[in-house]
Amino acid sequence: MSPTKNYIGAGLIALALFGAWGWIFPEYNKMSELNVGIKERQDLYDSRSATIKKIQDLNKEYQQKSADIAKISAILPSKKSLAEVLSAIDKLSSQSGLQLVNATVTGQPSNDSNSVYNIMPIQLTLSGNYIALENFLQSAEKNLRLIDIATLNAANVGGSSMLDFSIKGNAYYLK
Amino acid sequence: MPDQGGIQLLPESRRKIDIKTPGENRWLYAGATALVLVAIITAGLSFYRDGLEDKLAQLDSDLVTLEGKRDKKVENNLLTLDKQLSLTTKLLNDHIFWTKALRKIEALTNPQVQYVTFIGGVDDGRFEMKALTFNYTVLAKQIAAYVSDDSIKDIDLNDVHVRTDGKLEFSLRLIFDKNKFIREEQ
Repeated sequence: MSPTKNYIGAGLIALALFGAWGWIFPEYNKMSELNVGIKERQDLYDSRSATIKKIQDLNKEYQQKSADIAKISAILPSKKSLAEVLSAIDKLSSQSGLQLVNATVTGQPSNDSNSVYNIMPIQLTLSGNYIALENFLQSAEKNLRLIDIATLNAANVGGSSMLDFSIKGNAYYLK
Repeated sequence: MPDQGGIQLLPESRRKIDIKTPGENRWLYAGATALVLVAIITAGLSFYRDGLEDKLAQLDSDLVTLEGKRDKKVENNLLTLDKQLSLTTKLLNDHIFWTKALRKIEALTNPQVQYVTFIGGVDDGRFEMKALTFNYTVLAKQIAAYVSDDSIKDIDLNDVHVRTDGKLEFSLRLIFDKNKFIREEQ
């Protein structure tokens, strides 16, 4: 038995072990990392696909119910829509038989960070009789754009049936 | 050894005789086999890793494609609607109905009482009025009528005096329960 062959054989085995340590293990580790990465991305892809599918379905429903959604948007619009509010107030007062003497509509964004909507304070001075005030209030309460009247002040002018009204209220819009 | 004409028993040159012993190359074969095995496994893993890298790249590409399919405008519309739906319910529940309050006041008002001014405030839940009547009996009845209503929590009477025309002028402050007085019952 030649000892040289044994040495060569042992050297080859050592080389194989070195190769296993230097090539196979790093490859194996790299593959493990790749598998983790693939699983993460696959989960992300599946989740996003499901979300996009859900959004598409919701959008279809949104389109089908656009008329109802328009009403909800009118109650609490995403924008201030100052012109629409003023127009609505003018229409409400004239239809109810009140004279709109003065109107102040400010749209200061809410400072309250907890609040998810902005308040648009409205101040009105109106003139007319009590029945007209009732009509005005009734119409304002049923108005599609939500208006809450917080303060109502009525005063008789010189003993006649004419009354002066001062109204403070709020409309709302999304932040 | 030179030939001297005799029988030559020993060869002139020696030839090496190889005697093969079973298992003498065992270590050599084992080493070679191990090396080949390592090479094959390494090649296999490398091939498999390439496949995984391609799959990862494909998934990244798919994610980018998917991101491109998103419609931000639609998403914003849906988010806005979600906010509107949740807030609208709350705002409608808290909606103020002054007509309900005024009808209640009308129903409780004595025919012999005439209002001069009134101020109503929802924030502090008060309804203040200045009114005229003929005498203290009517005023007492009026106060009793307000007290009888469960939406009126408290009453303050101020500044009662007789005017030059003989009428009794008074100021009343009603403290009301917002839910019963001015909001629609759920």
